[in-house]
Amino acid sequence: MSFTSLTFVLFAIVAIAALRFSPHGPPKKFVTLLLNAVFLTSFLSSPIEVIPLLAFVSAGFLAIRTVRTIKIPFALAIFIALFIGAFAWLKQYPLFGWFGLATLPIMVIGLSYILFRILHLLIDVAQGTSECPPIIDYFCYVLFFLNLVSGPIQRYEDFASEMNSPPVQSTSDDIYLSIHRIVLGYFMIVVMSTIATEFMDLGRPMLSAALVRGGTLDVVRIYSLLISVYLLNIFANFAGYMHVIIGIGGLAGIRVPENFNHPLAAKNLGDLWARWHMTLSSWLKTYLFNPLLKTMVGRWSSPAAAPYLGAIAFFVTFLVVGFWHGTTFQFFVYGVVMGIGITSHWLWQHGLSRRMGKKRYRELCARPWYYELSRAATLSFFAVAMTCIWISSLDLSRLFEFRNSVAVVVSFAFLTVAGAAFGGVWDSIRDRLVARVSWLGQGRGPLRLLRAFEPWILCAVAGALLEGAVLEISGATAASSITHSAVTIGTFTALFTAALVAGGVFDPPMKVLLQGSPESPNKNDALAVWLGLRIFIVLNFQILLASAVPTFIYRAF
Amino acid sequence: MTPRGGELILTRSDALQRLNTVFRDLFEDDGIEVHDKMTAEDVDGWDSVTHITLVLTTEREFGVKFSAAEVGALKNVGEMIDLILARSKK
Repeated sequence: MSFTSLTFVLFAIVAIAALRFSPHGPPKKFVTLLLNAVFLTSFLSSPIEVIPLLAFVSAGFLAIRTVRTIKIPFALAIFIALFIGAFAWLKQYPLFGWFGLATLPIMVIGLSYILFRILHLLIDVAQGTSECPPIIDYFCYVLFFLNLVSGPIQRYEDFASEMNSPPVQSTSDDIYLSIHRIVLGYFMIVVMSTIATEFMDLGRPMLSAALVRGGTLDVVRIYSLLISVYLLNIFANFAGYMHVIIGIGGLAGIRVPENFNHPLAAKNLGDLWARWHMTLSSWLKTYLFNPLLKTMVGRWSSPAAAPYLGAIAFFVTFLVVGFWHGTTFQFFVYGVVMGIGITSHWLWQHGLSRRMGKKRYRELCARPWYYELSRAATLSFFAVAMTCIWISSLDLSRLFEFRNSVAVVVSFAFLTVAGAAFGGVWDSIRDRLVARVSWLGQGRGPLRLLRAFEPWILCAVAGALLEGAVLEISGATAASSITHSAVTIGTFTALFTAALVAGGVFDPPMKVLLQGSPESPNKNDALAVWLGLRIFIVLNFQILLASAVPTFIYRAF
Repeated sequence: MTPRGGELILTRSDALQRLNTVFRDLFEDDGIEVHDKMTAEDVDGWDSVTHITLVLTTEREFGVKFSAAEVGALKNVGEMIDLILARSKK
């Protein structure tokens, strides 16, 4: 079932109730197992499809069970190789394509995540850090319905403690926060990501045409727009999904680990990976980067060589990131590009901090201009690298033509400079808004109300101005009457404001306003109404966007 | 090292002292004084790559071996010493 379907919403409500009211320990595990089965079944069109997946997971259990006692030399290494091989075969990597299966209907949803969960347990048990889990716990964990489709890769011991300990009593604030995250998540998926996807679909043919016969500036214009939109798209989609499942987990009394920590504020490429898809980064660091580097440094023990061995380990890790994300040649290119980026970043960071000393290097990083430039360059590079994920293989090869490669470099430079300027302005506005919100609670009566609505009014005015400017630039206003323009701008302003409300931008001031004094009896009712309004808006957006994104949204561009 | 019942038991302060030498040699700084709360932020040159050299040198110094999960979970010097003590008891 799709996360945005009504079926899933109903399923989630049942799951929350079942998990919340089942006692911890065996009953909770039984309920989880049942929910996992129902969720998994919903992806099947015939029962046979699930056999390879179940065989893979069951083999995982047997391997974990026997890895410490089996009398085979290098048992752990052999098991790891077998599982990676089976994974590549089931996922139909081109290398394994001729082994058959390609025509058989098989369902391998979440297999990449399942593989990493199995390897984590296998390695930990083999190295004596943890014991083999009981079979019920194992199936609850590896196929946990909230983490099945797109992660996160929770560590087993954290999951087990959620199953075995009584859930923390939720306060009304916790419940509010969970529902807020679900609404925000759905907003990001069904509104932001949907609009961005439509935008990508419209822009891709334009890029193809420009790559063949357009001027370099044409390519730069379309390409930089598309890669920025894609970055926002994937962020809205993935981080939105995380908000939804963390929110559902919160209501059900099961903590799901955070996977994003404001990645758009990343200081550099290394920092980006500590903030984006964090559970994957931490898995790779623990089970690939560290052991690989340890082996290499142990073999060639010259300390002077360590930084260069580190560069190799970074490169290999990101090459694996590419392969793990997808089976096609494009993902290999993605891995290589990310590998080059992260390796360059590492050599740059290492060189500078060695030359300047860690303290002075840190001071440099803290300077606003350096931070803004570095952040914009990081995000632009990430956006360029992700081209490999959405572009067709034909267009990808066209990008490597000299003229188009120049356009890619110019786009990167343009986005870095523009992004740094935008980031600087945005950060200073945001700091001022935050300062306003914090003195909001001090006012009284109408003044307080006015202050609470101040950010709304500011945003609405900004939206109207922005829209007016766009319409003016695009010439849409030239032919129409003033009334028509006013109505268009009004509609856009209303939509813009509604989107900000649904996205939770005004939550902090509204909470201060609605909660009133701590002992006010109606504070939870008012907050519930407010959340209800946000759900209502998200639902309406979904209905509005369900069939197709109205073309008038793009006409202005 | 403190003799106890014919065996040599590694005490916390011994471990701390020996780890201090490892740190000073590795980061080429005689001013380093390791303590439990110390993290990578406090030492010039302690990054994700030298961290691995540090782990390897420490393993050799104390004749212990850390698992992948243990290396991945290390947060500060105190946890490292806890691990060394737990491992050398075995």
